[in-house]
Amino acid sequence: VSYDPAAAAPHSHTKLYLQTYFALLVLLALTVGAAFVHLGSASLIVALLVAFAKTTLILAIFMHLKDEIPLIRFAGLIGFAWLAMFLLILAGDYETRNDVVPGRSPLDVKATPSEPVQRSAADAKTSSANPSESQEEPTAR
Amino acid sequence: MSEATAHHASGGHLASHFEDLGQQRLASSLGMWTFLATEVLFFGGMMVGYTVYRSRHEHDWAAASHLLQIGWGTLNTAVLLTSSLTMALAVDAAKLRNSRLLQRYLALTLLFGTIFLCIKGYEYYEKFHDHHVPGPNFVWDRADISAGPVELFLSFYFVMTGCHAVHMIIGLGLLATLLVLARKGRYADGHYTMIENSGLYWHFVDIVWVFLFPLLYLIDRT
Repeated sequence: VSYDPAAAAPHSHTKLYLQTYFALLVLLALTVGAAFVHLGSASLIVALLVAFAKTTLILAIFMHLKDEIPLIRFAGLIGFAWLAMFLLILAGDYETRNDVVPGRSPLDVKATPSEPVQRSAADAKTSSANPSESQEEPTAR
Repeated sequence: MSEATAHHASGGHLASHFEDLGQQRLASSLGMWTFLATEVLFFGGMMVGYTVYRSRHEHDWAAASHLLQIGWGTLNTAVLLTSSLTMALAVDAAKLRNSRLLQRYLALTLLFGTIFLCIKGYEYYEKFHDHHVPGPNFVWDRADISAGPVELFLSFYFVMTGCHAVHMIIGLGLLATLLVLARKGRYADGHYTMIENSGLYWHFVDIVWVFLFPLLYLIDRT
């Protein structure tokens, strides 16, 4: 196995690293600036796109993944692929759970399915108690 | 070449269970990147949880996010990106067998990492001072935003930035060790696997912050 990224490029990378650094600072200014512009739901997407751009620069150049052999690149990127699967499957779960109880979020504590049942049971108790009292009163009279 | 001569020819750097230095370095790189993949999922789990709760408390979390000082967050991001630059230059110096430059860049990275933690610590102090820490002493006086989701946001803030800070402290320990060893003359012969892998770790911690910063500090500042 021949594996020596250093041998392929024995020169200094100072200039490339400085350029990358300034690009990262520009992206930082961009994402902070975008937060003050009204973009609605697109603002999260813009923030994440800038974060992914920064991550790509750091991975490719500072962590020199661009100079690595395919095996190392695969190991470096597989974690992000797993995270994407995690997020997608979970999002699919949460988006479709609402169909079971229409209009009710599984995360909304105030509207858990058990609570309306308890409330209706309590309602039934009080409503059944009142007529029995009113029924008893006339018979006592 | 016999095992003993191969070991000797590598200047004592080749472990007996590897064929040659190239294979040894590949194994160490693969191991480090695999470890970082598990780290992606460690922080990723918290980010997925964050995503779910944020989608349920969009409006409340925007108000909660405004409790964080955008200036400190931006400054800290710049400080951490600078420390990544000096770390990359340190690895470069080790590769070029320039021990003096390596020591200088390691010291600079150590300095910027410490500045980041100091700023983070001050932000934590502010939160405690203003009673904006979730728990019995939490104070929230805005009537239009309920306290529960705000406390939930701040819990995510403290756990995520706290785990990140622990990683930073481990990184600073690594850097200090490398600096001491470099001063003793290690890494001057082009064998710098420890520097290389510590650099990967440091850059990874930087990437985590690159996501934490917009997610926590930059929710709808309009």
